Amino acid sequence: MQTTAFESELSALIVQALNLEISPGEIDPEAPLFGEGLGLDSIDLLEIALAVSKQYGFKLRSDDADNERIFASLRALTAHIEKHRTK
Amino acid sequence: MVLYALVSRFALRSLPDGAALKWAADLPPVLIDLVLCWVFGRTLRRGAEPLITSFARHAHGGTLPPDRSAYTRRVTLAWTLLFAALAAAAAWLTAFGPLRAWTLFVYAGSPALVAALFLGEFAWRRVRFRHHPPQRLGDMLQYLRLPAAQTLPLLRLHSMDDAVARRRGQPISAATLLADAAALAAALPPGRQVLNLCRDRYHFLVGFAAALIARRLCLLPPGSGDAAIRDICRDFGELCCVADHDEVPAGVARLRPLGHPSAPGAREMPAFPAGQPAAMVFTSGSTGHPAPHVKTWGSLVRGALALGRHLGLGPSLAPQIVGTVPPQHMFGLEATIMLPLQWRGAVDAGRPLLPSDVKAALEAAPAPRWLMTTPLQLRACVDDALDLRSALRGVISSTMPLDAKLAQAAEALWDCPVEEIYGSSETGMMALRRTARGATWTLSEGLTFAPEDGAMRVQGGHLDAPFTLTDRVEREGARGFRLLGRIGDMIKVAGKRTSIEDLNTRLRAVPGVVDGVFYMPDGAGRPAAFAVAPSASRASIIEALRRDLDPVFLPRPLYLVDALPRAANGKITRDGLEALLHRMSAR
Repeated sequence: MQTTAFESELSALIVQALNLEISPGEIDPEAPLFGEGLGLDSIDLLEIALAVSKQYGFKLRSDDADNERIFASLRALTAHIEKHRTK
Repeated sequence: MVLYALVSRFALRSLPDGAALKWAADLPPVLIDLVLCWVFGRTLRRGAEPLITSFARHAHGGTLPPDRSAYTRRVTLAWTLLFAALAAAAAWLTAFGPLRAWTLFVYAGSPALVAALFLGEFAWRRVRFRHHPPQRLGDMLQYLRLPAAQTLPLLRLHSMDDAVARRRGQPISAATLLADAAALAAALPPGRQVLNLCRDRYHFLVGFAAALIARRLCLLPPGSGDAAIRDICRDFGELCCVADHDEVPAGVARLRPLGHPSAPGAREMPAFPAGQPAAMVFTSGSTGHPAPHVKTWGSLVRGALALGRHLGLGPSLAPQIVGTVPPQHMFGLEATIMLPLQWRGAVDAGRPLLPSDVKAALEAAPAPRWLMTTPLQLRACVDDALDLRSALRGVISSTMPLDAKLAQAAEALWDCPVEEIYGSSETGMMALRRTARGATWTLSEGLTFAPEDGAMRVQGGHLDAPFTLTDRVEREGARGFRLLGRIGDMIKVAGKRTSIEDLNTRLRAVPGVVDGVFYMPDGAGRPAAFAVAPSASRASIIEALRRDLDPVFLPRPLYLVDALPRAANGKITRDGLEALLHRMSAR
């Protein structure tokens, strides 16, 4: 499993923001973040959005039409943030 | 009964006299007494629940102590005998008595005897059960005043063209809703209850209305796509799932909310008996195994009417609702479905989660706008300094305690009142407060306290049954109270309740865990946990807990420690855990 530097950075951010019981390296970049995969829920989404907004100056939307694609996995979320980040 | 006797007597007495006519005119009181005798008497047969017992059980919230069961059985027998005697006396007077005596008996004697038994029994009950909290006559009359057979409309509106929902600002009319709901109702497989998993709020509304129309129970699962739904499917057998997405449990019949062939009667306003079971919500224990609670249509409507009156809604003030809570949650059902339905309002079909979604949804809605949300999402919006171009009429927060400072910040940011609802899945709304202005809660309209053994019970109003609070409260005046803390260390995570003790038991049962304790820091959204487990890893403990617990209760984080801060007597104090948490998180 190849993980890019930015994916590692984001998984570290997520693990820290959510007090997750795993190490950042354990997040499979291809696995679903919510529901069955990593098992995150909507409260976690709120935390992630807040952390992303502070770190990268960009506000996530959950009712984006591409929502399912954006939050499908760490890899998809990373790509989305990379495209829209302002810092 | 008396009115009918009067009318039939005057109508027929003016006709030429005759024996047959006399009997036709005089029989109704006899028949009515006989029918009442049968109605009471049939419930006394073996295996049936006596009628008065059933009334008392509902008034007591579902269960009666054995001595009351025996007592109410005797009361039912007394009523049966009274009606039998009245019927016999009226029949004897009809056949043999003078008209004067008959009239006196039917119009005065008979009602007086009924009233005497009612009041006499009430007085005797207060003496017989003087050690129990006293009942008031008004409570009994209120129970009789709202018969379960009264029908209440699905929605109230000016015209069928009124919007009941909006999707990205585009109105969806009441006529469309009724047509969609009637079509779905006709498509529901016979005999199956409806599991409503719709995420879009309009789709949910269609599923909810269709279940009501088809006289089915609408099951509202906590959360989605998890073990809780599988449990519900297992417990309830044949279900029909209405969903606008594909994450439905395997093996359950699934229907889309829309797109069914149109059904007749779609332009009539449906109305349902107040006593019709309308929705089933679930409270989940820590295992996530859901416990069901049935809501009657009457209780949902009365709750929505009470909330609307509290907000000052009326013909010229129809609420436009944006909600961040799922409609399957009791607060979501009350505030984002029932409230707009009963107050000519409309709801945004979406479920905005993040601050930028909330902003977009609010800006797409017309005035007067209300935001129905949770403290977590409110905090995210306030931290984001969410700038709304158009004014909010109000914010209502529920599901977990709202911090007063956060409420003040939100009021300052949007220049509108931020109110908080204290409620539960079992009851819905119980009390309200404007958090920025004080900590005192006021019971919602019609509710009263009934103190009982230290715990506090609320009753009346929209509640189907009295409810014992799971929090310790201190009364303030007749209708006010302050929350002192939880009873039995209950905690609430993501709208789900459990007790710390239950979590501790499960943690200590994990193989390799010698000692362990959960800890919910003040103001935290999730519990943390400490475990003494020399032979186990954090990952293995979490894995074991994951099999046993609803995921929302998994510790975030779990700390492995050498020992728990137990005092000499073995007790663990909150202060000790707070200090330990501080030490561990600083590492």
